[in-house]
Amino acid sequence: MIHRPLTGSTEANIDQGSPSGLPQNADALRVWNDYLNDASRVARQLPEAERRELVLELRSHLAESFAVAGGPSDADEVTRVKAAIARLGRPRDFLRPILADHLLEKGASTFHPRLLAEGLYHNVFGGLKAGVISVAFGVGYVLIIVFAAMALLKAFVPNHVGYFVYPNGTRTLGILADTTGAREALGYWVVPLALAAATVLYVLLTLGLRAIRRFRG
Amino acid sequence: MDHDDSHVDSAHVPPRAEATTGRWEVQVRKGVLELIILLSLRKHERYGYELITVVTRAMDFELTEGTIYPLLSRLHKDGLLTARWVEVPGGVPRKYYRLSEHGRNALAAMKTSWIRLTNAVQRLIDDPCATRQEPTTSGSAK
Repeated sequence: MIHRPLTGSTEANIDQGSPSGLPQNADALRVWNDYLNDASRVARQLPEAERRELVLELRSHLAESFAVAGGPSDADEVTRVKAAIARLGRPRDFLRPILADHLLEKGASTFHPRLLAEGLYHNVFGGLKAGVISVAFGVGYVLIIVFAAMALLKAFVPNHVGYFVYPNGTRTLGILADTTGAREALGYWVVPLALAAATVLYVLLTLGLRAIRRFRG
Repeated sequence: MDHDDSHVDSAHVPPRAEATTGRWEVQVRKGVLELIILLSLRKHERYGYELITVVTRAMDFELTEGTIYPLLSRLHKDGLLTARWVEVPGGVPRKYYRLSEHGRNALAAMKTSWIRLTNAVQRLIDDPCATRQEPTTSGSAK
């Protein structure tokens, strides 16, 4: 069987290799099938016919893209398939508008809150990702404040700020209310160290934010 | 200064000029892509890969190729395009798209509004005072 039609299963091996513009090399064919299976999985919420047709269209695209990439050398096939896949993009990125459209349409017509939520999720994922990044940066900036506070508080409550080593081997860095039994290992070195940590973290976070803002599109 | 309200984030760093224009350019291209697809299908029926080649060559910009498929699917569902599968001798079948009658009408309307828009922008670029002399100030307030 050369062209096995796509079945309901998302794990179907779509292509078995043939002389018709598909990769001949087994590894290349596996990369090819993995990609199409992944696309099929991403599109699993679409109606069956639509999903099958979409995957067949992506398969057709890959075949064209693979064919124009150059010579038929066996060793090259994996590279050529991977190059074609890279140009096409990740299904979970570029199929998002179709999924959002479908889920919102279906959710809105059936008042199904889960479908609506999923559709909105696909629609706003860009914003959501930005939200997650914001939270990560927020945590970073809180850490800066903690380091700065350590440097400052060491002057007032030296016994509660620093790097504490407990008799049972536990080690804790920070500002602690109860330090009974612990030995403070850093002394006043904690002040320059905490300030240095805060500065480095601040510079890194700010550079990171700049890079994100520059490359986000 | 920062007019970007499409993202919620905690950044206080003002974006650089090139970053802003880069993002703007991406948005503009995305918006225009639909019109370009319809224009590319005016005379010929084309399949996805061919369309991407034509579009990137005509517009001189890189495009994640997959981006075109949700657009084609939307245009097809809206009835602007018709599609058919064509067997390729010794190859993988292709899905060809063609402009429908409805698509032709939509394209004509889009062309008109595109020309009106670009003319208006061009007038502003040529003469920054153009808005003040514009006699059409009534009735269009939101």
